[in-house]
Amino acid sequence: MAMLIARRLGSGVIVALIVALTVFALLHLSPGDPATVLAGDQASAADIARIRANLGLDRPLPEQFVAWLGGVLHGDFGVSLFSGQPVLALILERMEPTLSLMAFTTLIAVIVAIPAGILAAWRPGSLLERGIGAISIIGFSVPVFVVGYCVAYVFALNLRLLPVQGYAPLEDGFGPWLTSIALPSIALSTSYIALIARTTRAAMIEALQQDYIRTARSKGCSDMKILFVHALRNCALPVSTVIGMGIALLIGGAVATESVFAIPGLGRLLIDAILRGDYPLIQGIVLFFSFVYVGINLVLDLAYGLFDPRVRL
Amino acid sequence: MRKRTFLKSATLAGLLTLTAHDPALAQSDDHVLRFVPDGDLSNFDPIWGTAYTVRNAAMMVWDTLYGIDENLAPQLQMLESDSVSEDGLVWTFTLRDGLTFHDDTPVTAEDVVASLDRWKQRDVMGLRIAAVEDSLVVLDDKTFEWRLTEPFPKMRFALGKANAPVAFIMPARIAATDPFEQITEYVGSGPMRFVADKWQVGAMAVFEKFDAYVPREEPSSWLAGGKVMNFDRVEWITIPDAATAVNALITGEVDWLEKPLPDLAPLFEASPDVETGVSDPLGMVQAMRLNHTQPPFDDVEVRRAVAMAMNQSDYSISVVGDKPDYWQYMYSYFTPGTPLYTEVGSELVMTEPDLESARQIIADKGLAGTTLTVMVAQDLPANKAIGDVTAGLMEDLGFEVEYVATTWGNIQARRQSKAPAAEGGWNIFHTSHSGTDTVNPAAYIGLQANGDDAWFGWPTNDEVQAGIAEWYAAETPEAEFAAAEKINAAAMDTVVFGLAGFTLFQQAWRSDAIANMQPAPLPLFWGIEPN
Repeated sequence: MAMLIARRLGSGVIVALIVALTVFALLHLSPGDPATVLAGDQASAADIARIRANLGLDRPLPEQFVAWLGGVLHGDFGVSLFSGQPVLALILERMEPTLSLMAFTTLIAVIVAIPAGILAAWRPGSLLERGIGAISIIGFSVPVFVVGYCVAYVFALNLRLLPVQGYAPLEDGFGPWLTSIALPSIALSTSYIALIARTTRAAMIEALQQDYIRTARSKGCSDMKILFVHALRNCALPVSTVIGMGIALLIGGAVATESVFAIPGLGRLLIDAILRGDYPLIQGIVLFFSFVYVGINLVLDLAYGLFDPRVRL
Repeated sequence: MRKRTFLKSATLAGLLTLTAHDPALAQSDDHVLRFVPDGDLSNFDPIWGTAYTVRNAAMMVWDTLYGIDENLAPQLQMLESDSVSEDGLVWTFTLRDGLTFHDDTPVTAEDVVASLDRWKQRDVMGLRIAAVEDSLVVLDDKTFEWRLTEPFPKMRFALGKANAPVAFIMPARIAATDPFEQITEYVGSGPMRFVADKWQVGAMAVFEKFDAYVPREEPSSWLAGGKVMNFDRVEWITIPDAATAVNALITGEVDWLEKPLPDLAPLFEASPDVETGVSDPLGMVQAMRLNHTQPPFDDVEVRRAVAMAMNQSDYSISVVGDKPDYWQYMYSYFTPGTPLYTEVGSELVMTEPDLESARQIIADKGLAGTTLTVMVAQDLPANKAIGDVTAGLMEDLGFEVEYVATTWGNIQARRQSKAPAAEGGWNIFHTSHSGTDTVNPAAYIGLQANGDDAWFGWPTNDEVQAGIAEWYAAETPEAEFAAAEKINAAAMDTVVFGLAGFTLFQQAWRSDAIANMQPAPLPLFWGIEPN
């Protein structure tokens, strides 16, 4: 197990490095110059050159990358070109809303999707299965921001039950936090629910055709026991995999959701940084997300060992 | 069954109670104003960063020596008095009593001099003053003197103008910061204090009333007169999504939208608590920048052909819709309704757009089928709308159009290239100038026609430049207007840029939250009252 963790951590660091290098290269190869944006319309070419030099943007690209990477290894992600604030501080400041959104979305998705997938598998070909299948397809097809507008229209504009925008941190209390996170999480969860439900259904159908299920039935086990005790555990591997893989979906979806609901999270910070060309901030956020993704994959790999003892061999 | 139904209902009711949202619950005894700016506050140094959003927020925190009133005249603001020698070379300024920074230190002439030293390195008018400066010195705690080698009649306007960067006064220790680097301490002497630890870049900024601020006794008039704050706290909430911002106003989660998207304005009609009105009577001048250094727009006749074909109504309606209250024809390079507005020399654009004649000119010059590179910012709705109109117009004139769909940030980089379009240059891009900037030549970068030193497109016209010099030297309104006539005629003749109309934007606010709203060149937080 220790070797597994070490191997995964090592490969995670390599992945993060490759991501960092790729993002750095793409940013600097793409058109745009933050110095011109910062300088404003009145600036002369000399002013722009001076700003570029102050920001270190006039140095050779390899030198810039090495300097940035050296900083990262010492815990210094640089400063935002636009606000002058440390990138790490900005990331930490914006982490809570994004993690809240992702965690609550995952919770909603798991609570809704797994039972839905089980129910669909329990009665294959039934109206129930077809209904769940249709809803899954719709959930997977409709963009997050469209769902966002729809739920905002119903729950915020019409029913006035929930706010249409903003985020209340947990320190303000659980109620306000839940209030602020509910609509965006619902909007973000639709495609995730669809993904998990369809995977659960397929895995359950396969599991229910196994010999041990037939044996359990012949011994007089109830449907519920068969579904939730015998079959579900054997679906844990593909379902937990898709939950983990879905985190990437969430990261992408969080960008749109945070913009629609004005949540001051990392996704929105990333969009703002991209639009302005705030290189250090983009690199820092992307690196952070890649670490999150690598970390989740590591946790999943370790979880496989819990679900399936053969993995530990 | 009934029991189960009851339990379900009770659970749902409990959840709804837990999550019920009532904006009123968030209110305290303080008067809090929740404002949604048009852009995010990505930095907070009004000298280093010249974005309008930064300037607008800075107006609350830092004070100015003069303030422009609604007649565009500079009035004393931080100053008790000023005087200028008969030869116009020595300006003496005296600060008024009661000026205090937010760190409770008094404002002194030393702070002012340090602030002006920083400002004059970044501002167009500041650079002009610096070019004729002999000395800028402190005489005593409240008095300072600016000695010049040549008269500079526009001194008061320069120190009181609203155009960014504004000559804000900061403590000397902060003003000592290199003007090309950001300040990190946000201490001013304005009516509101910046709450730095509540600042979330791009999301939220908070300002609290500064109790030690002493407003002038004169009635408020734009940036002049008494800046009386009736709100204890102002929260700037950035909402990037236009529809969400409108919804938040309708639900009462925010009180004031600086610039709702015109397409969404009809939503307010169903909301009795929301009022709308013109935000800035000086509006926006929509501009088509032509690259004068590259074919085909290096030929003045081609530029004139484009100017005669442009239909300002097409452009304006694409930006603000067809409500006549929000756009008008603009037959001058100066802001409509302001003292320098003149139509002298504007005959080319005052007649009906003549597409046929323009197309004939293009054809006669053998330019039909020539490819034009038109850069259009997809992240700015107005820019995209105008760009689409231009793309259609250019095709109607017989050109081929290479439509470069990009971001404003990329345009800002690419527009610097003087190379041919095929080598990374460009032929056309669009921008808008705040009507505040186009009232006179002071901050009107788009009007300059001094070739390589001009703004992007690099027009060259000595008559325009001579007119601008005359305006700077003018000491009477009549002389200023004469200079404006000369500038306008020359600028129209050479087509410094294509006039794509004059648009006014809406602001929207909740009548149950704010009273006494007034249109101004920028959102004013003094004078308005809680309702």
